[in-house]
Amino acid sequence: MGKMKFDASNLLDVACIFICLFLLIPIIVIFISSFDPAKYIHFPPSGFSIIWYQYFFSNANWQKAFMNSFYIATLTTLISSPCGVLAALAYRKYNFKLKSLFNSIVVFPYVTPSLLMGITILMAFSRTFLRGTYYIVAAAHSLWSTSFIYLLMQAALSNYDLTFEEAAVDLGASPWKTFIEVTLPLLKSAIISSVIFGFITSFGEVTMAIFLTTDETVTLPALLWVSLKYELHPVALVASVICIIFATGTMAIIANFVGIETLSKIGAKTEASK
Amino acid sequence: MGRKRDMKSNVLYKYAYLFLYLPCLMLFIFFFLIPFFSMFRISFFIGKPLSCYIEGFTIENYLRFFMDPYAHRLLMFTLELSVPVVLITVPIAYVMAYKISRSFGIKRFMLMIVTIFPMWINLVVMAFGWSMIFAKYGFMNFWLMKLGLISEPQPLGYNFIAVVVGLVYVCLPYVILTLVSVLDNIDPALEDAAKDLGAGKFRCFLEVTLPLSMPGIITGATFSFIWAMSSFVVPSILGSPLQKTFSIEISNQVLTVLNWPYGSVLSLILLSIVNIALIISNKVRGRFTIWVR
Repeated sequence: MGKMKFDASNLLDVACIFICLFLLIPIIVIFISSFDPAKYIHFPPSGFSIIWYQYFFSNANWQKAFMNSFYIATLTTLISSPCGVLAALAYRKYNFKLKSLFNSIVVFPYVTPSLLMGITILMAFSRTFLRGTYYIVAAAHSLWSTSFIYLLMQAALSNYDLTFEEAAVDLGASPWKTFIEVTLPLLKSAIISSVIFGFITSFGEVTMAIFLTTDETVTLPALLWVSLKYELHPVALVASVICIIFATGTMAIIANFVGIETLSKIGAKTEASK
Repeated sequence: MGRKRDMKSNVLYKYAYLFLYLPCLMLFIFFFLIPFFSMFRISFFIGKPLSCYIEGFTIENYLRFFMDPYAHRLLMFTLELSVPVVLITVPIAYVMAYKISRSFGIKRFMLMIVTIFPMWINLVVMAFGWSMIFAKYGFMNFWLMKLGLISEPQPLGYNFIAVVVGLVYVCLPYVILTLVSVLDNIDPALEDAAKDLGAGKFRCFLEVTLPLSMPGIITGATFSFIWAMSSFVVPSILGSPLQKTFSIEISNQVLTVLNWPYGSVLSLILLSIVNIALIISNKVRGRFTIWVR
Protein backbone atom coordinates (compact mmCIF):
# COMPACT_ATOMS: atom_id res chain seq x y z
CA MET A 1 0.00 0.00 0.00
CA GLY A 2 2.77 2.36 0.98
CA LYS A 3 4.67 1.51 -2.16
CA MET A 4 1.65 2.12 -4.37
CA LYS A 5 1.12 5.55 -2.89
CA PHE A 6 4.75 6.33 -3.57
CA ASP A 7 4.28 5.23 -7.21
CA ALA A 8 1.19 7.36 -7.71
CA SER A 9 2.83 10.57 -6.53
CA ASN A 10 5.93 9.71 -8.54
CA LEU A 11 3.77 9.34 -11.61
CA LEU A 12 2.32 12.78 -10.97
CA ASP A 13 5.83 14.26 -10.71
CA VAL A 14 6.93 12.64 -13.95
CA ALA A 15 3.79 13.87 -15.71
CA CYS A 16 4.46 17.38 -14.47
CA ILE A 17 8.03 17.31 -15.71
CA PHE A 18 6.73 16.34 -19.14
CA ILE A 19 4.14 19.12 -19.07
CA CYS A 20 6.80 21.66 -18.10
CA LEU A 21 8.97 20.45 -20.98
CA PHE A 22 5.98 20.73 -23.30
CA LEU A 23 5.43 24.31 -22.17
CA LEU A 24 9.06 25.32 -22.58
CA ILE A 25 10.22 23.42 -25.65
CA PRO A 26 9.05 25.77 -28.42
CA ILE A 27 10.68 28.71 -26.68
CA ILE A 28 13.95 26.87 -26.16
CA VAL A 29 14.02 25.66 -29.75
CA ILE A 30 13.50 29.19 -31.09
CA PHE A 31 16.16 30.54 -28.80
CA ILE A 32 18.74 27.94 -29.84
CA SER A 33 17.96 28.16 -33.53
CA SER A 34 18.24 31.93 -33.63
CA PHE A 35 22.03 31.59 -33.30
CA ASP A 36 22.24 29.28 -36.30
CA PRO A 37 24.15 30.92 -39.19
CA ALA A 38 22.50 28.70 -41.85
CA LYS A 39 20.04 30.25 -44.27
CA TYR A 40 17.67 27.31 -44.07
CA ILE A 41 16.27 26.54 -40.68
CA HIS A 42 17.08 23.11 -39.34
CA PHE A 43 17.89 21.36 -36.09
CA PRO A 44 20.46 20.95 -34.63
CA PRO A 45 22.07 24.27 -35.57
CA SER A 46 25.17 24.07 -37.72
CA GLY A 47 27.11 26.64 -35.71
CA PHE A 48 26.95 29.70 -33.56
CA SER A 49 26.74 33.21 -34.91
CA ILE A 50 24.86 36.40 -34.43
CA ILE A 51 24.63 37.40 -38.09
CA TRP A 52 20.83 37.28 -38.06
CA TYR A 53 20.80 39.56 -35.06
CA GLN A 54 22.98 41.99 -36.99
CA TYR A 55 20.68 41.55 -39.96
CA PHE A 56 17.64 42.31 -37.80
CA PHE A 57 19.12 45.50 -36.45
CA SER A 58 20.32 46.71 -39.82
CA ASN A 59 17.18 45.89 -41.80
CA ALA A 60 14.93 48.91 -42.24
CA ASN A 61 11.68 46.91 -42.41
CA TRP A 62 12.22 45.07 -39.16
CA GLN A 63 13.45 48.19 -37.44
CA LYS A 64 10.40 50.10 -38.54
CA ALA A 65 8.15 47.30 -37.34
CA PHE A 66 9.92 47.31 -33.99
CA MET A 67 9.52 51.06 -33.64
CA ASN A 68 5.86 50.86 -34.72
CA SER A 69 5.22 48.25 -32.06
CA PHE A 70 6.90 50.51 -29.58
CA TYR A 71 4.79 53.56 -30.51
CA ILE A 72 1.57 51.63 -30.55
CA ALA A 73 2.32 49.96 -27.24
CA THR A 74 3.14 53.33 -25.67
CA LEU A 75 -0.06 54.86 -27.00
CA THR A 76 -2.03 51.86 -25.78
CA THR A 77 -0.48 52.19 -22.34
CA LEU A 78 -1.42 55.86 -22.19
CA ILE A 79 -5.03 55.07 -23.06
CA SER A 80 -5.59 51.85 -21.19
CA SER A 81 -3.83 52.37 -17.86
CA PRO A 82 -6.07 55.22 -16.63
CA CYS A 83 -9.14 53.41 -17.94
CA GLY A 84 -8.34 50.09 -16.33
CA VAL A 85 -6.94 51.41 -13.06
CA LEU A 86 -9.79 53.85 -12.39
CA ALA A 87 -12.44 51.29 -13.25
CA ALA A 88 -10.85 48.74 -10.93
CA LEU A 89 -10.76 51.33 -8.13
CA ALA A 90 -14.44 52.06 -8.67
CA TYR A 91 -15.24 48.37 -8.63
CA ARG A 92 -13.44 47.89 -5.37
CA LYS A 93 -14.76 50.94 -3.60
CA TYR A 94 -18.34 51.57 -4.61
CA ASN A 95 -21.52 49.60 -4.66
CA PHE A 96 -24.12 50.57 -7.21
CA LYS A 97 -26.92 49.12 -9.23
CA LEU A 98 -25.15 48.63 -12.51
CA LYS A 99 -21.97 47.26 -10.97
CA SER A 100 -22.20 43.77 -12.43
CA LEU A 101 -23.17 45.16 -15.84
CA PHE A 102 -20.22 47.55 -15.86
CA ASN A 103 -17.96 44.78 -14.71
CA SER A 104 -18.99 42.46 -17.50
CA ILE A 105 -18.69 45.20 -20.11
CA VAL A 106 -15.09 45.81 -19.14
CA VAL A 107 -14.25 42.12 -19.12
CA PHE A 108 -16.10 41.39 -22.35
CA PRO A 109 -13.15 41.96 -24.75
CA TYR A 110 -11.25 39.35 -22.74
CA VAL A 111 -13.75 36.68 -23.77
CA THR A 112 -14.52 37.95 -27.26
CA PRO A 113 -12.29 36.42 -29.94
CA SER A 114 -9.79 39.12 -30.89
CA LEU A 115 -10.26 38.15 -34.52
CA LEU A 116 -13.83 39.46 -34.33
CA MET A 117 -12.78 42.65 -32.56
CA GLY A 118 -10.17 43.29 -35.23
CA ILE A 119 -12.66 42.74 -38.05
CA THR A 120 -15.40 44.88 -36.53
CA ILE A 121 -13.02 47.78 -35.95
CA LEU A 122 -11.62 47.43 -39.45
CA MET A 123 -15.13 47.56 -40.92
CA ALA A 124 -16.45 50.35 -38.71
CA PHE A 125 -13.55 52.71 -39.37
CA SER A 126 -12.72 51.71 -42.93
CA ARG A 127 -14.22 54.85 -44.40
CA THR A 128 -12.92 57.29 -41.80
CA PHE A 129 -9.62 59.11 -41.49
CA LEU A 130 -8.57 56.66 -38.76
CA ARG A 131 -8.10 53.76 -41.14
CA GLY A 132 -4.61 52.29 -41.01
CA THR A 133 -3.26 54.81 -38.50
CA TYR A 134 -1.44 54.14 -35.26
CA TYR A 135 -4.44 55.42 -33.35
CA ILE A 136 -6.86 52.79 -34.51
CA VAL A 137 -4.45 49.96 -33.73
CA ALA A 138 -3.77 51.48 -30.32
CA ALA A 139 -7.51 51.84 -29.67
CA ALA A 140 -8.10 48.20 -30.55
CA HIS A 141 -5.22 47.11 -28.35
CA SER A 142 -6.51 49.34 -25.56
CA LEU A 143 -9.75 47.38 -25.39
CA TRP A 144 -7.80 44.26 -24.75
CA SER A 145 -5.21 45.66 -22.41
CA THR A 146 -7.82 47.60 -20.43
CA SER A 147 -9.51 44.31 -19.66
CA PHE A 148 -6.23 42.80 -18.58
CA ILE A 149 -5.20 45.80 -16.50
CA TYR A 150 -8.63 45.82 -14.88
CA LEU A 151 -8.27 42.17 -13.92
CA LEU A 152 -4.71 42.67 -12.68
CA MET A 153 -5.75 45.67 -10.58
CA GLN A 154 -8.70 43.77 -9.16
CA ALA A 155 -6.42 40.92 -8.19
CA ALA A 156 -3.89 43.33 -6.67
CA LEU A 157 -6.53 45.42 -4.89
CA SER A 158 -7.91 42.43 -3.08
CA ASN A 159 -4.62 42.35 -1.15
CA TYR A 160 -4.72 46.00 -0.07
CA ASP A 161 -6.33 47.42 2.98
CA LEU A 162 -8.23 50.48 1.86
CA THR A 163 -9.35 51.46 5.37
CA PHE A 164 -6.36 53.82 5.29
CA GLU A 165 -8.42 55.95 2.96
CA GLU A 166 -11.28 56.10 5.42
CA ALA A 167 -8.82 57.10 8.12
CA ALA A 168 -7.49 59.91 5.93
CA VAL A 169 -11.01 61.16 5.24
CA ASP A 170 -11.88 61.01 8.94
CA LEU A 171 -8.80 63.06 9.70
CA GLY A 172 -10.11 65.76 7.38
CA ALA A 173 -8.38 65.14 4.06
CA SER A 174 -10.33 66.02 0.93
CA PRO A 175 -11.14 63.15 -1.42
CA TRP A 176 -8.62 64.42 -3.96
CA LYS A 177 -5.89 64.76 -1.35
CA THR A 178 -6.72 61.30 -0.05
CA PHE A 179 -6.37 59.89 -3.52
CA ILE A 180 -3.02 61.59 -4.15
CA GLU A 181 -1.48 61.06 -0.72
CA VAL A 182 -2.93 57.77 0.44
CA THR A 183 -4.38 55.71 -2.39
CA LEU A 184 -1.70 56.28 -5.01
CA PRO A 185 1.31 55.51 -2.78
CA LEU A 186 -0.47 52.42 -1.45
CA LEU A 187 -1.16 51.17 -4.93
CA LYS A 188 2.12 52.27 -6.44
CA SER A 189 3.47 48.83 -7.28
CA ALA A 190 0.13 47.64 -8.63
CA ILE A 191 -0.17 50.69 -10.86
CA ILE A 192 3.36 50.39 -12.19
CA SER A 193 2.65 46.74 -12.93
CA SER A 194 -0.52 47.71 -14.76
CA VAL A 195 1.34 50.18 -16.92
CA ILE A 196 3.96 47.61 -17.88
CA PHE A 197 1.27 45.03 -18.39
CA GLY A 198 -0.66 47.31 -20.72
CA PHE A 199 2.52 47.86 -22.69
CA ILE A 200 3.35 44.20 -23.13
CA THR A 201 -0.17 43.06 -24.03
CA SER A 202 -0.11 45.56 -26.85
CA PHE A 203 3.47 44.78 -27.84
CA GLY A 204 2.67 41.10 -28.30
CA GLU A 205 -0.84 41.37 -29.73
CA VAL A 206 -1.04 39.94 -33.21
CA THR A 207 -4.56 39.01 -34.35
CA MET A 208 -6.00 42.52 -34.34
CA ALA A 209 -2.74 43.95 -35.67
CA ILE A 210 -2.95 41.68 -38.73
CA PHE A 211 -6.26 43.26 -39.67
CA LEU A 212 -5.64 46.85 -38.67
CA THR A 213 -2.10 47.61 -39.72
CA THR A 214 -0.91 48.70 -43.14
CA ASP A 215 2.60 48.45 -44.58
CA GLU A 216 3.38 51.73 -42.85
CA THR A 217 2.08 50.86 -39.39
CA VAL A 218 2.89 47.14 -39.30
CA THR A 219 3.91 45.92 -35.84
CA LEU A 220 6.64 43.45 -35.02
CA PRO A 221 4.32 40.44 -34.45
CA ALA A 222 2.30 41.34 -37.56
CA LEU A 223 5.44 41.50 -39.69
CA LEU A 224 6.55 38.22 -38.16
CA TRP A 225 3.21 36.76 -39.23
CA VAL A 226 3.67 38.05 -42.78
CA SER A 227 7.17 36.64 -42.96
CA LEU A 228 6.03 33.24 -41.68
CA LYS A 229 3.17 33.13 -44.16
CA TYR A 230 5.05 34.16 -47.27
CA GLU A 231 8.82 33.83 -47.03
CA LEU A 232 10.48 32.06 -44.15
CA HIS A 233 13.75 33.74 -43.30
CA PRO A 234 15.98 33.08 -40.26
CA VAL A 235 15.56 36.69 -39.17
CA ALA A 236 12.03 35.70 -38.09
CA LEU A 237 13.71 33.71 -35.32
CA VAL A 238 15.48 36.82 -34.10
CA ALA A 239 12.22 38.77 -34.13
CA SER A 240 10.67 35.96 -32.07
CA VAL A 241 13.55 36.06 -29.61
CA ILE A 242 13.05 39.83 -29.23
CA CYS A 243 9.36 39.25 -28.48
CA ILE A 244 10.29 36.56 -25.96
CA ILE A 245 12.86 38.79 -24.26
CA PHE A 246 10.36 41.62 -23.91
CA ALA A 247 7.77 39.22 -22.50
CA THR A 248 10.20 37.65 -20.05
CA GLY A 249 11.57 40.96 -18.85
CA THR A 250 8.19 42.49 -18.20
CA MET A 251 6.93 39.33 -16.55
CA ALA A 252 9.91 39.34 -14.20
CA ILE A 253 9.33 42.99 -13.28
CA ILE A 254 5.63 42.53 -12.63
CA ALA A 255 6.09 39.29 -10.74
CA ASN A 256 8.56 41.17 -8.59
CA PHE A 257 6.11 44.01 -7.93
CA VAL A 258 2.83 42.24 -7.27
CA GLY A 259 3.91 38.65 -6.78
CA ILE A 260 3.41 35.64 -8.97
CA GLU A 261 0.23 34.59 -7.18
CA THR A 262 -1.53 37.84 -8.07
CA LEU A 263 -0.30 37.52 -11.61
CA SER A 264 -1.70 34.00 -11.85
CA LYS A 265 -5.15 35.27 -10.96
CA ILE A 266 -5.44 37.20 -14.21
CA GLY A 267 -5.24 34.04 -16.24
CA ALA A 268 -7.73 32.38 -13.96
CA LYS A 269 -10.15 35.25 -13.66
CA THR A 270 -12.52 33.78 -16.18
CA GLU A 271 -15.55 33.55 -13.97
CA ALA A 272 -16.17 37.28 -14.31
CA SER A 273 -17.41 36.61 -17.82
CA LYS A 274 -21.09 36.14 -17.19
CA MET B 1 -20.97 78.42 0.98
CA GLY B 2 -19.78 75.51 3.07
CA ARG B 3 -23.09 73.78 2.69
CA LYS B 4 -23.05 74.25 -1.03
CA ARG B 5 -19.63 72.68 -1.21
CA ASP B 6 -20.82 69.77 0.90
CA MET B 7 -23.69 69.12 -1.45
CA LYS B 8 -21.40 69.30 -4.42
CA SER B 9 -18.99 66.83 -2.92
CA ASN B 10 -21.91 64.60 -1.99
CA VAL B 11 -23.08 64.49 -5.57
CA LEU B 12 -19.51 63.93 -6.66
CA TYR B 13 -19.19 61.13 -4.18
CA LYS B 14 -22.50 59.57 -5.14
CA TYR B 15 -21.64 59.37 -8.80
CA ALA B 16 -17.89 58.98 -8.37
CA TYR B 17 -18.07 55.44 -9.67
CA LEU B 18 -19.54 56.77 -12.88
CA PHE B 19 -16.65 59.18 -13.37
CA LEU B 20 -14.17 56.46 -12.61
CA TYR B 21 -15.81 54.08 -15.06
CA LEU B 22 -16.35 56.79 -17.67
CA PRO B 23 -13.03 56.57 -19.61
CA CYS B 24 -13.40 52.84 -19.76
CA LEU B 25 -17.01 52.96 -20.89
CA MET B 26 -16.26 55.56 -23.57
CA LEU B 27 -13.53 53.34 -24.96
CA PHE B 28 -15.87 50.38 -25.02
CA ILE B 29 -18.74 52.23 -26.57
CA PHE B 30 -16.63 53.71 -29.37
CA PHE B 31 -14.41 50.79 -30.17
CA PHE B 32 -16.44 47.80 -29.09
CA LEU B 33 -20.18 48.39 -29.19
CA ILE B 34 -20.36 50.73 -32.17
CA PRO B 35 -18.11 48.52 -34.33
CA PHE B 36 -20.25 45.49 -33.50
CA PHE B 37 -23.42 47.35 -34.42
CA SER B 38 -21.86 48.54 -37.61
CA MET B 39 -20.90 44.98 -38.44
CA PHE B 40 -24.49 43.96 -37.83
CA ARG B 41 -25.60 46.67 -40.24
CA ILE B 42 -23.01 45.68 -42.85
CA SER B 43 -24.26 42.11 -42.72
CA PHE B 44 -27.47 43.35 -44.42
CA PHE B 45 -25.62 45.27 -47.15
CA ILE B 46 -25.21 43.94 -50.66
CA GLY B 47 -22.05 41.92 -50.91
CA LYS B 48 -20.00 41.81 -54.05
CA PRO B 49 -16.51 40.34 -54.13
CA LEU B 50 -13.69 42.89 -54.33
CA SER B 51 -15.93 45.84 -53.49
CA CYS B 52 -16.06 45.65 -49.65
CA TYR B 53 -19.79 46.48 -49.56
CA ILE B 54 -22.56 48.33 -51.38
CA GLU B 55 -25.13 49.99 -49.17
CA GLY B 56 -28.60 48.59 -49.36
CA PHE B 57 -30.73 46.01 -47.61
CA THR B 58 -30.79 42.32 -48.32
CA ILE B 59 -30.88 39.12 -46.35
CA GLU B 60 -29.14 37.30 -49.16
CA ASN B 61 -25.92 36.96 -47.14
CA TYR B 62 -27.72 35.08 -44.39
CA LEU B 63 -29.48 32.86 -46.94
CA ARG B 64 -26.13 32.23 -48.59
CA PHE B 65 -24.69 30.98 -45.32
CA PHE B 66 -27.59 28.63 -44.71
CA MET B 67 -27.36 27.26 -48.27
CA ASP B 68 -23.58 27.07 -48.51
CA PRO B 69 -22.31 23.51 -47.91
CA TYR B 70 -18.72 24.78 -47.94
CA ALA B 71 -19.35 27.04 -44.94
CA HIS B 72 -21.11 24.18 -43.14
CA ARG B 73 -18.19 21.91 -43.78
CA LEU B 74 -15.77 24.49 -42.39
CA LEU B 75 -17.93 24.92 -39.32
CA MET B 76 -18.04 21.16 -38.80
CA PHE B 77 -14.29 20.90 -39.25
CA THR B 78 -13.73 23.63 -36.68
CA LEU B 79 -15.97 21.79 -34.21
CA GLU B 80 -14.09 18.55 -34.92
CA LEU B 81 -10.89 20.42 -34.19
CA SER B 82 -12.15 22.02 -30.97
CA VAL B 83 -13.39 18.82 -29.36
CA PRO B 84 -10.02 17.01 -29.24
CA VAL B 85 -8.35 20.24 -28.12
CA VAL B 86 -10.71 20.46 -25.13
CA LEU B 87 -10.45 16.75 -24.36
CA ILE B 88 -6.65 16.87 -24.35
CA THR B 89 -6.16 20.24 -22.67
CA VAL B 90 -8.36 19.74 -19.62
CA PRO B 91 -6.84 16.48 -18.27
CA ILE B 92 -3.27 17.68 -18.86
CA ALA B 93 -4.08 20.98 -17.20
CA TYR B 94 -5.69 19.16 -14.30
CA VAL B 95 -2.58 17.12 -13.59
CA MET B 96 -0.40 20.22 -13.59
CA ALA B 97 -2.88 22.29 -11.57
CA TYR B 98 -3.22 19.52 -8.98
CA LYS B 99 0.54 19.41 -8.59
CA ILE B 100 0.80 23.21 -8.31
CA SER B 101 -1.94 23.49 -5.72
CA ARG B 102 -0.35 20.74 -3.63
CA SER B 103 3.15 22.22 -3.77
CA PHE B 104 4.59 24.97 -1.61
CA GLY B 105 7.42 27.44 -1.61
CA ILE B 106 10.01 27.43 -4.35
CA LYS B 107 8.52 24.41 -6.10
CA ARG B 108 5.15 26.07 -6.51
CA PHE B 109 6.86 29.26 -7.61
CA MET B 110 8.85 27.46 -10.31
CA LEU B 111 5.83 25.57 -11.60
CA MET B 112 3.85 28.80 -11.64
CA ILE B 113 6.57 30.60 -13.63
CA VAL B 114 6.71 27.80 -16.19
CA THR B 115 2.91 27.96 -16.53
CA ILE B 116 2.63 31.71 -16.83
CA PHE B 117 5.60 32.14 -19.13
CA PRO B 118 3.93 30.95 -22.37
CA MET B 119 0.94 33.24 -21.74
CA TRP B 120 3.18 36.23 -22.35
CA ILE B 121 4.63 35.01 -25.59
CA ASN B 122 2.54 36.03 -28.55
CA LEU B 123 0.63 33.55 -30.66
CA VAL B 124 2.80 33.85 -33.74
CA VAL B 125 5.95 33.05 -31.80
CA MET B 126 4.28 30.04 -30.18
CA ALA B 127 3.06 28.74 -33.52
CA PHE B 128 6.47 29.40 -35.05
CA GLY B 129 8.14 27.42 -32.28
CA TRP B 130 5.91 24.44 -32.95
CA SER B 131 6.38 24.67 -36.69
CA MET B 132 10.14 24.53 -36.07
CA ILE B 133 9.65 21.45 -33.94
CA PHE B 134 7.54 19.70 -36.56
CA ALA B 135 9.64 20.82 -39.54
CA LYS B 136 11.20 18.24 -41.82
CA TYR B 137 14.70 18.92 -40.52
CA GLY B 138 13.40 20.09 -37.17
CA PHE B 139 13.66 19.15 -33.53
CA MET B 140 11.19 16.25 -33.50
CA ASN B 141 12.61 14.44 -36.52
CA PHE B 142 16.12 14.93 -35.17
CA TRP B 143 15.30 13.21 -31.90
CA LEU B 144 13.19 10.48 -33.50
CA MET B 145 16.10 9.65 -35.79
CA LYS B 146 18.60 9.85 -32.97
CA LEU B 147 16.51 7.43 -30.94
CA GLY B 148 16.35 5.14 -33.96
CA LEU B 149 12.57 5.20 -34.25
CA ILE B 150 12.68 6.39 -37.85
CA SER B 151 15.44 6.32 -40.43
CA GLU B 152 14.38 9.24 -42.63
CA PRO B 153 12.80 12.58 -41.75
CA GLN B 154 9.04 12.21 -41.80
CA PRO B 155 6.59 14.95 -42.69
CA LEU B 156 5.23 15.76 -39.24
CA GLY B 157 3.99 19.30 -39.66
CA TYR B 158 1.16 20.88 -41.59
CA ASN B 159 -1.48 18.40 -40.52
CA PHE B 160 -4.37 18.03 -38.11
CA ILE B 161 -2.23 16.79 -35.23
CA ALA B 162 0.16 19.74 -35.49
CA VAL B 163 -2.78 22.15 -35.25
CA VAL B 164 -4.21 20.32 -32.24
CA VAL B 165 -0.84 20.39 -30.47
CA GLY B 166 -0.48 24.10 -31.17
CA LEU B 167 -3.94 24.88 -29.84
CA VAL B 168 -3.45 22.74 -26.73
CA TYR B 169 -0.27 24.68 -26.09
CA VAL B 170 -2.08 28.00 -26.42
CA CYS B 171 -4.95 27.03 -24.12
CA LEU B 172 -2.97 25.11 -21.50
CA PRO B 173 -1.65 27.96 -19.30
CA TYR B 174 -5.06 29.60 -18.94
CA VAL B 175 -6.80 26.34 -18.10
CA ILE B 176 -4.07 25.41 -15.59
CA LEU B 177 -4.41 28.75 -13.80
CA THR B 178 -8.20 28.50 -13.71
CA LEU B 179 -7.95 25.04 -12.17
CA VAL B 180 -5.28 26.14 -9.70
CA SER B 181 -7.51 28.91 -8.41
CA VAL B 182 -10.36 26.41 -7.93
CA LEU B 183 -8.20 23.69 -6.38
CA ASP B 184 -6.59 26.20 -4.00
CA ASN B 185 -10.01 27.10 -2.67
CA ILE B 186 -10.97 23.55 -1.78
CA ASP B 187 -10.84 23.15 1.98
CA PRO B 188 -8.17 20.52 2.75
CA ALA B 189 -10.26 19.51 5.76
CA LEU B 190 -12.77 17.93 3.39
CA GLU B 191 -10.13 15.62 1.94
CA ASP B 192 -8.82 14.82 5.42
CA ALA B 193 -12.37 14.00 6.51
CA ALA B 194 -12.81 11.63 3.57
CA LYS B 195 -9.55 9.91 4.41
CA ASP B 196 -10.46 9.65 8.09
CA LEU B 197 -13.70 8.02 7.07
CA GLY B 198 -11.67 5.35 5.30
CA ALA B 199 -11.56 6.47 1.69
CA GLY B 200 -8.38 5.62 -0.17
CA LYS B 201 -6.37 8.32 -1.85
CA PHE B 202 -7.86 7.54 -5.23
CA ARG B 203 -11.42 7.34 -4.00
CA CYS B 204 -10.99 10.56 -2.05
CA PHE B 205 -9.85 12.27 -5.23
CA LEU B 206 -12.69 10.81 -7.29
CA GLU B 207 -15.48 11.53 -4.84
CA VAL B 208 -14.33 14.70 -3.10
CA THR B 209 -11.68 16.66 -5.01
CA LEU B 210 -12.91 16.05 -8.54
CA PRO B 211 -16.55 17.01 -7.95
CA LEU B 212 -15.47 20.08 -6.01
CA SER B 213 -13.26 21.22 -8.86
CA MET B 214 -15.99 20.69 -11.46
CA PRO B 215 -16.74 24.44 -11.85
CA GLY B 216 -13.09 25.02 -12.78
CA ILE B 217 -13.12 22.13 -15.22
CA ILE B 218 -16.21 23.53 -16.92
CA THR B 219 -14.77 27.04 -17.15
CA GLY B 220 -11.48 25.72 -18.49
CA ALA B 221 -13.22 23.50 -21.03
CA THR B 222 -15.41 26.38 -22.21
CA PHE B 223 -12.50 28.69 -22.72
CA SER B 224 -10.37 26.20 -24.55
CA PHE B 225 -13.40 25.45 -26.74
CA ILE B 226 -13.88 29.14 -27.51
CA TRP B 227 -10.22 29.68 -28.31
CA ALA B 228 -10.09 26.62 -30.53
CA MET B 229 -13.32 27.65 -32.30
CA SER B 230 -12.02 31.12 -33.05
CA SER B 231 -8.40 30.13 -33.64
CA PHE B 232 -6.91 31.76 -36.67
CA VAL B 233 -3.18 32.31 -36.27
CA VAL B 234 -2.26 28.83 -35.05
CA PRO B 235 -4.06 26.77 -37.74
CA SER B 236 -2.86 29.05 -40.51
CA ILE B 237 0.76 28.58 -39.50
CA LEU B 238 0.72 24.96 -38.33
CA GLY B 239 -1.92 23.59 -40.70
CA SER B 240 -2.10 22.98 -44.42
CA PRO B 241 -4.94 24.44 -46.54
CA LEU B 242 -6.85 21.29 -45.57
CA GLN B 243 -6.94 22.54 -41.96
CA LYS B 244 -8.96 25.60 -42.84
CA THR B 245 -10.98 26.77 -39.86
CA PHE B 246 -14.03 28.98 -39.83
CA SER B 247 -11.95 31.96 -38.70
CA ILE B 248 -9.53 31.55 -41.58
CA GLU B 249 -12.51 31.69 -43.93
CA ILE B 250 -13.72 34.86 -42.19
CA SER B 251 -10.36 36.55 -42.60
CA ASN B 252 -10.28 35.35 -46.19
CA GLN B 253 -13.66 36.94 -46.92
CA VAL B 254 -12.63 40.17 -45.24
CA LEU B 255 -9.06 40.56 -46.46
CA THR B 256 -8.82 38.70 -49.77
CA VAL B 257 -12.27 38.24 -51.32
CA LEU B 258 -13.31 41.63 -49.90
CA ASN B 259 -16.90 40.53 -49.51
CA TRP B 260 -17.57 42.22 -46.19
CA PRO B 261 -21.29 41.54 -45.83
CA TYR B 262 -20.74 37.80 -46.11
CA GLY B 263 -17.70 38.10 -43.82
CA SER B 264 -19.92 39.88 -41.29
CA VAL B 265 -22.49 37.13 -41.43
CA LEU B 266 -19.81 34.52 -40.78
CA SER B 267 -18.40 36.64 -37.94
CA LEU B 268 -21.82 36.99 -36.35
CA ILE B 269 -22.32 33.22 -36.59
CA LEU B 270 -19.00 32.68 -34.82
CA LEU B 271 -19.89 35.30 -32.20
CA SER B 272 -23.20 33.60 -31.48
CA ILE B 273 -21.53 30.20 -31.16
CA VAL B 274 -19.07 31.68 -28.65
CA ASN B 275 -21.85 33.30 -26.66
CA ILE B 276 -24.02 30.18 -26.67
CA ALA B 277 -21.04 28.23 -25.35
CA LEU B 278 -20.56 30.82 -22.58
CA ILE B 279 -24.23 30.78 -21.62
CA ILE B 280 -24.41 26.99 -21.53
CA SER B 281 -21.25 26.82 -19.46
CA ASN B 282 -22.59 29.37 -16.98
CA LYS B 283 -25.82 27.37 -16.62
CA VAL B 284 -24.00 24.08 -16.14
CA ARG B 285 -21.53 25.61 -13.73
CA GLY B 286 -24.33 27.16 -11.71
CA ARG B 287 -25.87 23.74 -11.36
CA PHE B 288 -22.62 22.20 -10.19
CA THR B 289 -21.98 24.93 -7.68
CA ILE B 290 -25.37 24.30 -6.11
CA TRP B 291 -24.80 20.59 -6.14
CA VAL B 292 -21.42 20.98 -4.51
CA ARG B 293 -22.91 23.02 -1.71
